[in-house]
Amino acid sequence: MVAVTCELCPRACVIPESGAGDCRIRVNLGGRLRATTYGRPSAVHVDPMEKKPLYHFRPGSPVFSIATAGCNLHCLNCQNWQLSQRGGEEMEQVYRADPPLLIDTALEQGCESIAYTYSDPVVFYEYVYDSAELAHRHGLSNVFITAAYINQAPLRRLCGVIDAANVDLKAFDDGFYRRVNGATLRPVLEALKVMREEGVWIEVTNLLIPTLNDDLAMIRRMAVWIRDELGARTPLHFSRFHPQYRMRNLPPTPAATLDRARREAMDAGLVYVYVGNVMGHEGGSTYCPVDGTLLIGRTGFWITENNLTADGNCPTCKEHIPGVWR
Amino acid sequence: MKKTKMRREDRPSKGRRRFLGLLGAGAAAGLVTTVEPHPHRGTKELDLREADFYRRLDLAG
Repeated sequence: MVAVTCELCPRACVIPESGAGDCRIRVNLGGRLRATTYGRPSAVHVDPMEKKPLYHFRPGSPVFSIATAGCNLHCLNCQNWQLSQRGGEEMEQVYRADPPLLIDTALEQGCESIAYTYSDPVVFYEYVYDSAELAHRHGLSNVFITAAYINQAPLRRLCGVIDAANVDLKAFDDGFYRRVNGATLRPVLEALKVMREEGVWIEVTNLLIPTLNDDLAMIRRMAVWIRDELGARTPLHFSRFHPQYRMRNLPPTPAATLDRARREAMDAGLVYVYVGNVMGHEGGSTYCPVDGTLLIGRTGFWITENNLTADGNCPTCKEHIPGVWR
Repeated sequence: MKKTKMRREDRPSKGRRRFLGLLGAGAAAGLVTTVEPHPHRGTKELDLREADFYRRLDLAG
């Protein structure tokens, strides 16, 4: 009998023969670990970049978004649990799309980027890597939407083919990670630092859940960490929680909570702090930090106006706004 | 192969499935769907990609 240890994520699952890892989709077949959802996405969609959310990366561009079944986290409030908490054989729909077909389809659909998203793309790592490498050769960008619960060696390799990432930092508290997500905080922080070192464009999302992670002192600690380790100009998105999956006992996040969190993070020194999942909120738009000019107006996932210059500068004071604008 | 049907209350709503891309966005883009066999059974004929980061543990017995 030959067991294997998966070295992709910090779980380090020891998988007996014919068994699967905690993610359900990495399976030991005859002493070899197999990625069973390789080339088999279960969600395929064309989204605006703002839905990821990435606000400083090719704004308004269509992004070919894919996911397979499986996840290495088990968040009680998962939005996509029908996809993430299942193995590939449990899905109602599975497409066959090896990387070449995926890239061809993305190009046919007029997309400029591919997003590995919805569930956590860490678990379909090989599919992401091969597709991303091929996408680059065809002039497409790659964006990685993740909780970043991944070991450093595979992450560093992946960073060579990833252009941007939105990392879901669930809370700045290890206990929260253990109770709500079935994970731990430290590897996520280390992964963020690695992405920064490797030159990936990073935006951070923090979903605020009433009573669980909306403490302002914790939010300030998180903002200070982002400022010091990733840079004050790293975009931070506070996102609104909606009750679902196994967390239906809590109400949606009040808009006032999101406002307070945004002010706290800006007081701590972060320059671009956004509010998400609240239609028409002023915190969904980008403003010049020098003169307050509205640079990119947004409603939901849609851009209402874009006043940035082609080089990503404020049209009035010429302040450069960090990001990838074309 | 027997296809397991989800209970109605467990199935995501139509809007949710559309949001997730489960309602044929991929099909509209020309992708072909498949029914996946359970990875623990009958997969020898499938050419499944070997994972990149793992280590074999040769256990006695």
